[in-house]
Amino acid sequence: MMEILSLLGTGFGVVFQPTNLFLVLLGTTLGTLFGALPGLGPINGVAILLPICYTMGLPVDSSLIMLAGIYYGAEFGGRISSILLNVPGDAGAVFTCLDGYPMAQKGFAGPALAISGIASFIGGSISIVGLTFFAPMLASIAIHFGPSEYFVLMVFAFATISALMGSNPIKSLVGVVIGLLIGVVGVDATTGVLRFTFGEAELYDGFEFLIVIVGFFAVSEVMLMLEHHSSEDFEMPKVTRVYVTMKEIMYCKWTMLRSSIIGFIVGVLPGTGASIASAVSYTIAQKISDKEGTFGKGDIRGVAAPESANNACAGGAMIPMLTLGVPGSGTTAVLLGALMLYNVNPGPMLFVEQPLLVWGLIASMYVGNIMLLVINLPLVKIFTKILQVPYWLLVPCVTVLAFVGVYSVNFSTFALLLSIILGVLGYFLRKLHFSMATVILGFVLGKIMEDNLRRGFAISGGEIGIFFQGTINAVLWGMTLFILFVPMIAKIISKKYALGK
Amino acid sequence: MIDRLFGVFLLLLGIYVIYGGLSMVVPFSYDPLGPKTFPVVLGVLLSALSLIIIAKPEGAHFPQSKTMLNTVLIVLLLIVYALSFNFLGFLLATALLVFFMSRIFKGTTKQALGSAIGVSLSVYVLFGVLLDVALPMGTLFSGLLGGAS
Repeated sequence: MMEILSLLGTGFGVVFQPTNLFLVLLGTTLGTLFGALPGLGPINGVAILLPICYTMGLPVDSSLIMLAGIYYGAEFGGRISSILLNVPGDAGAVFTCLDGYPMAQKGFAGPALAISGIASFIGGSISIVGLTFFAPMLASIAIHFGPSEYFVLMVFAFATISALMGSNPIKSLVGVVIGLLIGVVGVDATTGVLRFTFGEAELYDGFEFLIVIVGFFAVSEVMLMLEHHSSEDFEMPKVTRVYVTMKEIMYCKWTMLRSSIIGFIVGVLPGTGASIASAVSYTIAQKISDKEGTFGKGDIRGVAAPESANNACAGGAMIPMLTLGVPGSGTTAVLLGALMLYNVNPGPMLFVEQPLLVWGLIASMYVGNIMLLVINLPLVKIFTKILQVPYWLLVPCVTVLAFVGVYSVNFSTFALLLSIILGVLGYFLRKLHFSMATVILGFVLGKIMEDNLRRGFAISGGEIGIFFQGTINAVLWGMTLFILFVPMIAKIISKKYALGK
Repeated sequence: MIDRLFGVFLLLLGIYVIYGGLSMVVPFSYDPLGPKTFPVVLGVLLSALSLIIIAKPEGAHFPQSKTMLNTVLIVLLLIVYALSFNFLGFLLATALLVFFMSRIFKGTTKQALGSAIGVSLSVYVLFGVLLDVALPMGTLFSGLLGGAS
């Protein structure tokens, strides 16, 4: 306990350096912006700005602080366009539309923005406190993981991803496999054999992480944006008082508290992101609180629930990423890739080897969350103005920024072509409802998974039994089976329920 | 239909991965598994899953032909940009890209021209000058200036 607090203290020491403080502000502001712009979410924001951070030569802790700021900032900002335009800024904000937009139509756009800002802050704060105390605990367990435990952990992660992410488990699994395959390309580290490099020297090191994320999340996004409507096409409701009364906050307190805890737990599970967190919390809030049938017609609690949940989720998702090296969401997968880009090995040793990095990041989230509250309450009107940036300016800007970032990594136009090809692939995958988050998780985890599989076999001399030995493996296999059967059990129960009616 | 076609594409990819994995020549390996097993297993998995998709395709909503045409145009633009990047140089290539993209996203000619000049110059100043990223000046221009680069 005392140890954690003193480590957190050193973390604050890192954050309070002027550069880092500025980067927290920059990250959270940009994040709010990316969240607020329809069509761009946290994952696109991080994908577009990561190459730039890398080009700017920021040290790893500063860049991580800023990128994380974009992540939780975007969860904050996603609500703005949900409430004002009925267009979710990102996947986690879909449920905010349900009550936020009706509120705005009734002339309560300001209070809706204010309560959702406060709900976001509370969700964020609760999850950061949770992160501070649970992460070191999990890390101390994770230290006992050997190669076989690691491999089984990946299997568990992919099982939850396939079962819970996306609408079709088969397609989620295909996404994971495609991601893993992209990760296979390049020189095999132990034997030097070339795998699927097509004779291209630039592929010897495998697909550059930046190229993959820019292709999947910037190029394909630009192609998809042709189908969105630019915010010019919408009429912006008037934003009046952007504050709420104490009475309104107290009215929502249980909803916010409950949703924050739900969001946090959903976030910790590998592979389940903000969209699931807000869906679950909204449904539960509706079941518990909707006595007069006001949900969906502009109930203030219907705004508070998903917003506290999706922000709590962002903090929760950091836990498996920092302690196990297994991301809890698509965006944390990109953050994990960013760490690897800087040659930092994610995994249980991160807390031991890089205490300043980890605790600096955690401390920065406390600071960033407070900054976001300030950015999002008094200054929210500025963001409603920025929301009106037309697509004819926004889209080319995004494209050029992303391309400059990719180009400057290797100074090669081959990288640009590669990201375009991946972008087209990503476009089809997204159009056909394959979840992109699963692909990126597969890609980021592929090398680690194969490494541990092969090391496990090397230790046992080819015996498969090693993957079933020990308590940790047993628990992980048990959890994997459980996750795989949850959808099936849920289906049977809902069928029985339907028959009963 | 497109879902099914994409399933066929995935199946072919899976078969190619299996073939590519099996035909790798591994002179020696320190671990019992070697570099082949993982990709081959993935290839088998991908082929099996794609068969399910082919058997049970889902409906997909692709946009109307006009939007679709614009989507193809965007991709072509990006490819031309990548290919002409070194030849035209960052400034000219970017200005052209931004101009046409702006037009595709319903900007007027004036707006597109404005964003083309604005975006290419500000990105150049930010990255090329302030952050010292070596953005290409274009072989076209160095050719015009008598090969001085």
